[in-house]
Amino acid sequence: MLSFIYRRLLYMVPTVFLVSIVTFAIIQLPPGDYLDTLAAELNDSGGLDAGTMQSLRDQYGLGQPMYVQYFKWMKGILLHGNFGISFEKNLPVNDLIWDRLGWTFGISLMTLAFIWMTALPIGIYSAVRKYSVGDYIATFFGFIGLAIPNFLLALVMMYVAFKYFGQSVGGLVSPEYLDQPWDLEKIGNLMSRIWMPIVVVGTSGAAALIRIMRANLLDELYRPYVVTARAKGMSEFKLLMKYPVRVALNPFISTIGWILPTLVSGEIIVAVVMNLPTTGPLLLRALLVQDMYLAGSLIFIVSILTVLGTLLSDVLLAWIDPRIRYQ
Amino acid sequence: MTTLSSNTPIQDDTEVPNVLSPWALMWRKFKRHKIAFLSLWLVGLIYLMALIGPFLAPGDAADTNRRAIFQPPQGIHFFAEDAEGNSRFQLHAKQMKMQIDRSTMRRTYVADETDIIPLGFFVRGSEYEVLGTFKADVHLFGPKDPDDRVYFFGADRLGRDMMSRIIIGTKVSMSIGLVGVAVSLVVGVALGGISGFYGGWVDNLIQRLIEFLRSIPTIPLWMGLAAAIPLGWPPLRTYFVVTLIVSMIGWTSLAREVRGKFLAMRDEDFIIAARLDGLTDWEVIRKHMVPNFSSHIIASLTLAVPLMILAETSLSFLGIGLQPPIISWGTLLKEAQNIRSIVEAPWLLIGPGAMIVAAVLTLNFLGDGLRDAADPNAH
Amino acid sequence: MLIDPKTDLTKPLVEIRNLKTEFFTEDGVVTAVDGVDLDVMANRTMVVLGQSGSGKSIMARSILRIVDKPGKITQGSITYNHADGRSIDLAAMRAGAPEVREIRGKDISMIFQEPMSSLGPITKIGQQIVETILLHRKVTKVEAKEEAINLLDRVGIPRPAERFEAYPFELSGGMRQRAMIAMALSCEPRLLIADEPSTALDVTTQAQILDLIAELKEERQMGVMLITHDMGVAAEVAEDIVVMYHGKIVEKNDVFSIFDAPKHPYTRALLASVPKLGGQRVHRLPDISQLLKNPDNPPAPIPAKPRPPAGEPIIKVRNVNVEFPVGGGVFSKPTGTIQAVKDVSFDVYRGETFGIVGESGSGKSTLSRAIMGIRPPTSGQIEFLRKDKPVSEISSAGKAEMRDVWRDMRMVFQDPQSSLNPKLRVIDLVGQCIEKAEALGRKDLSERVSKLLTQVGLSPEFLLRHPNAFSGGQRQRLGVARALATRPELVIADEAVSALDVPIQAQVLNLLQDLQEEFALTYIFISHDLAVVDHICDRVAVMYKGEMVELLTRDELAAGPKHPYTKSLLSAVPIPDPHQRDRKRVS
Repeated sequence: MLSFIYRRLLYMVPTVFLVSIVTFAIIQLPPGDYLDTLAAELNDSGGLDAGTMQSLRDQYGLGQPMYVQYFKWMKGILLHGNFGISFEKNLPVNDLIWDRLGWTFGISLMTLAFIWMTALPIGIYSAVRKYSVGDYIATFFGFIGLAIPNFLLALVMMYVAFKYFGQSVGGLVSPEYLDQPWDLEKIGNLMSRIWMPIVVVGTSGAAALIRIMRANLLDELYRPYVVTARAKGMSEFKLLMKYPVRVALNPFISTIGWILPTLVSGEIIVAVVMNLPTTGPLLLRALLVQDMYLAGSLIFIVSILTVLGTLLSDVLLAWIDPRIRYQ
Repeated sequence: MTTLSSNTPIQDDTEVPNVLSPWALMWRKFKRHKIAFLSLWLVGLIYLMALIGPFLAPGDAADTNRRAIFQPPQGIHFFAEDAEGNSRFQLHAKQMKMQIDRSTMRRTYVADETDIIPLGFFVRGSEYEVLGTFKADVHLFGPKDPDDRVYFFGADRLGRDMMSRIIIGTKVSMSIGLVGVAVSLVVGVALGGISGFYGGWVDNLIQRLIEFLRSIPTIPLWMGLAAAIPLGWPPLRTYFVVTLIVSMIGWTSLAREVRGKFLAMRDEDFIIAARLDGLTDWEVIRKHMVPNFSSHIIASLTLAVPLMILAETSLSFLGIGLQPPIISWGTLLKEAQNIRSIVEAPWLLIGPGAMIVAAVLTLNFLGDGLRDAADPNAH
Repeated sequence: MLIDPKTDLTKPLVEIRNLKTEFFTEDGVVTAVDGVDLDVMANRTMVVLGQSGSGKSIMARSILRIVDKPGKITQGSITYNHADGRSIDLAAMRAGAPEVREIRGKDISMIFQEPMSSLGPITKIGQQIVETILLHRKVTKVEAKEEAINLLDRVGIPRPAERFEAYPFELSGGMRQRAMIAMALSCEPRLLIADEPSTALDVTTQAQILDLIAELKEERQMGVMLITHDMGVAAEVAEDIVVMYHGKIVEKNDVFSIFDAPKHPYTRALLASVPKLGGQRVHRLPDISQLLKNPDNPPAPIPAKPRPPAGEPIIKVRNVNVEFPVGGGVFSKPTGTIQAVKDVSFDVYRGETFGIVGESGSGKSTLSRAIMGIRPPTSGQIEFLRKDKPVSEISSAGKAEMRDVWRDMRMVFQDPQSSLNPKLRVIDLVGQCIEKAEALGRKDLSERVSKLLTQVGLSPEFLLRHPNAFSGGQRQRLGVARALATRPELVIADEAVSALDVPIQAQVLNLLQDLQEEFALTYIFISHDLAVVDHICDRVAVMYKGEMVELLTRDELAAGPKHPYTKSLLSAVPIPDPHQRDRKRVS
C-alpha cells in the first residue's frame, strides 16, 4: 500500500511540472502585458510616458525572456513559497489568495459531500426499482440537472430568493456581518446562505453521479454472486448492501478524480455570479487585466490541489478495492 | 423410478433467430425509447431553426429601439374590432407605451388597447441572406407592416427583440457544439485509435497527456485561454478559437473510449480472423473495427454536443468567450448577469435559459437513447 | 453433525409437481420449465442431464426461488419436507419470504458453474462463509470463524487459516470451487444443488471436485442434485438420472438403465452422438436429426475407413519457444516472462489430422497461434511446406509473405459468436478472403460463397444475412466455410467444437471429416477434450505446462500412454459409461 502511494506521488512530479509550464504559457499568451493594459487604462486620463513604462517594466522583470521569467517565478515558489506580486493590487500574491482558496476548496468539498449524500441513495433506489415511478422521477430530474448550466441555476435561485423571500443574495454572509469577527451568529448566518452555492454547484454533479451509480449497480445486480448470496438465504436489503452496492461503489469512488476538477470549475463560475469571496471573481479580474502572477498562481494552485484530490481518490480506491491494490 | 414413455414432441434444434440486420435492430430498439425518439425530432427542429433562423425570426436581431427598452413580452391576440366595431378574426399584438416614473426613474409599459399591430404569416420585413447566396425579406410570422415592431419575448436594454435574438443565436450556439464535436472527433479518434491499436510507449504517452488534461480544472484553464483572445479579433476568428478551446474537453473522453474499444477489439477473434483473411491493418480498422464501434461513437458524440454548448455558454456568460456583436445564447445571458437586471426584466434570463435547457436536455435524451440502442447488453 | 439416523430417508426432500417456469420477455413468453414432476431424495445423487436451453438450470433455481427476472413460476408446486415433518410449498411463497430464506443455504444450498463470478469479488472467502453460518446458526463470530476454517480444511484447501483471509481472485479455479462447496456445506444442508460445478474446470480438477462432492454426500447422507450437460460426468457420479429437453423431463431412471437401455429417442440420440474414448473407431458420429426422425431404426455405426498413409511433412516445428512478458507498470520494464511454450518440435504430415490436447494453460493455443504466425515464436523454426510453392519460414516471414501463407493455412476459431464480425453479411464474412486473394466481381463472389455454403450444409439463401440470424452450430459452419474459402492445404481448428452442444458437436465433427476427404485437407486439431481428439485425430500431441510431453498415434493412445501426465489425464476424463466408474484414477 505504501509503495502504491509512493509510486503515485512520484507520478505527480512530472504532472505538476507540466501544470506549471502550461499555466505560465497560458498567462503569457495574451499579446502585451499588464503594463500595456495599465497604459491603455491610464491613457484615457493622461497616460504614461515611455520612461516610466520602461522603469516599471524593469522593476517587474517584464522585459526579460519568457523562460527567465518562468524560472524566477518557480524559484520564488519552490525556495520561499513566494508566488510573486499582484501588479494591480501591488500586494504579494500570498496575501490575496489563501483565504479565497480556502473558501473555494471548502465549498467544493462540502459540495462533494452533498453530491454523495444525494446521489448514493437515489442511485441505488433507481437501480433496484428500475422503471418504477421513483426511478422515472429521479431520471427526469437527473437529466434536468445535467441540462441547466450552474450559473443559470444560480441566477434562477437568486431571482427566486430575491423576489419571493426578499433575501438579498450574493456573498457568503449578509452585508451587516461582513466586517465582524467570527462568532456563532455569523457562522449561523453563513450556514443559512452557504447551502445555496453548494446546491447550485452540486446539482449537475449529483445528477451525473445518480446516473453513474444506477448504471454501475445495474451492471452488478444480475451477477452470479448476487444469486449466490440470495441462495445463502440473506435478506434482499442486506445482500444488496453487502455485495452489489459495495462493488458498484468502486467506480463511484473513482469519480472523485474527475468530479473535483468540475466542482472547482463550477464553484469558480458560480462565485462570479453570486459574488462569493472565493477564487472565481479574483481570477476573472486578474485574467482580464493581465495581472499575470496572480492569475498564474491561482490556476497553478487550484490545479495542484485538484491533482492531489485525484491522488487521494486513487488511494481511497486502492484501499477499498483489493483487486486494484494487488495490480 | 419410473420410465417416462410419454411422446414428448421433438423439435428440430435449428432455431432461426431474428433475420434483421444489426442496424435495423438498433433502429428498432431506438424507436422503442419514446423520449429519445421524440428528442430526435426536437433536436432536428432546433438545428432547422439554426439553419433558417432569419426566416423564423419576426424581426431584425440587431435592430435597436429606444422606445422599447426593457419592454416586457407582448401577447398575441386573436380577435380585433374593425372600423365598424365588429369583432373579427385578426391576429394582432397590442402596442405598448413606455411611461417613465419621474420620481423613481423606472420604466413601465402599458398596453394600448386601441393601437393594434396586425400580425400575419409570410410577411415582408427586414432583409437577410439565405445560406449566404441570395437575399430575401419574407418572415414566417410577424407584423404585417414592416415598420411595426413586436416583442413576443420582450426586449433588452437597447430595445432589441429577444425572440429574434434567441432564434438567431441558435445558429452560433448549436453549431459550436457541432464544430467542437467534429474537432473532438478527429483528434479523439486519431489519438485514441493510435493509442489503442499500437499500444506500447505511444499509448503510454497519450494516456498520460489525457490524464494530465483531465486533472486540470477546466474553467480556470479555459478562462486563461479565452482571456488570451484579443478583443479586437474579428468575430469569425474568435468563434473558431472558442470552439477549439471548448473542444479541448471533448476529445479526451472520446479518445479514451475509442482506445478502450480498440484495445478490447484488437484481440477479438473476429479481428484476428480478418487479419488472417489477408486484410491490411488499415482495412481491418476500416472494415471491421469502425463499423463495430461507430454506433457507440455516435452516441458519445451526441452526448458531447451539449457539454460544448454549456461550455460556450459559460465562457460567453463570463465575458471571455464570444463577444458581442456575435449573438449566441451565452452572450444573450450575459445581459442577465446581475440580479437587478433580472428583477427588472426576467425575460432576459428566461428566454435564452429555456432554449439552452431545452437543447441540452433533448441532446442528452437523444444521446442516451442512441447509447442504449447501440449497446446489446444495455439494461 | 450428521443427519439424524431416525430421519426417514424414503420420504422425498423435495416434491416437484407440474412445475412451469416462464420468462416474460419483450419478444414474448418463453417457457423454460414446462410441467416437470420430480422427487428429490435424501442420500441420493440425482443428475439432471440436458443440453443448453433445456431448462435444467432454471428448474433447479425454481426450487430455491432464485430465478432472475423476468422469470416466474406460473404453475405447479414445489413441496419441501422439513426434517421435523413440516411441509411447505415453495412455489406458493413470495420469492423473498422468510420461510423461503430460512431454507436457502440451511436446508438446501447451491453451488454454481463459475466460482470466480459466483463468489463476491471484493469480500474475503472466509468472511463469505462466516456470513452464511451466522445467518442460520446461533453461534458467535469466533466460533463461526473456527468452523469456517475447519470447513476450508475439510474441502481440501491447504493452509485454511491463511486462505480464510484470501480474496476470490487470489485462488485458482479449483480452490475457488472448493471454497464455494465449503460455504454451501456450512449449515449442513439436506440437499446440495450443484449447477455445472465442474464445467469451468480442467479435467483433472473436475475429477477432484466430483470426488469431493461424492465423498461429502456419503459422509453427510445428503441429497445431491447435480446439473450437467456432460454425459461422462453423469455416468461417473449419478445414481439417478433425469434427462431434460425443451423444458420437459423426457426420461428419468437409475443411471444404469439410462445408459444401458435408454427408452426415449432423445436420450438414445444424445448418448449415440457422444464421441467415446477408446473403443472401436467409427467413421461418422450419428447425426441427432437423423436419429430423431427414425428413432426405431438407428443406422448402424460405420467403422472408420483406413486412413491414407501419411504423406510428406507439411509443417515442421523445431525447438519452438514462446514467451510472454509479465508484470511491469506504466514506466517500468516487465518483471519477468511466462514461458507458454517450451522447446516444442514435431512434424505434421500432409493429409493427416494432428491433434494437440492439453488443459488450460498448457500452451496448446499459444502453439497454434505461433504456427499461424499470429504471435510468432520467441525462438525456433516453423516451416510451412506447400505444394508448388517455396518453403515459408513462419517465424521470420514478412507481412506480405504471411498474407500469402494465410491463404493456404486457415483457422477455425473456438467461439463462433466472437469470431464472426456481427456487422458483416455472410457474403463478406466468408468471401472477404477470396476477394483479397483473387480479383472477383460481386456476382462471381456470390456464386463462390453460395457453393461454399452448400458444401458446409447451409442454404445459399443465407448469403445476405448477418451472423446474429444463425444458431451456434450454423455459425460454426460459417466459420468452417470461411476457413475453406481460399482452398487451403492446412486448417488449424482451435477448440472448434468445444463451445457446442454434444449433438451439434457431432454434426460439425462429421462435417470436418467429410470436407477433409473432399478437399484433401490436413488438420491440426486443438482440444481439451480427449474423447473428441481421439475420435478425429490420427496422432495426438499431449501438452503440459508448455511442454509436449508425449506424441502418440491413436493406437498407442488406446494401448495406454507412457507419460504419467497423459496417464492421469486419460484416467480423469469422465467416461459416459457407468460400468467403468470404478476404474482407478491416476494422479
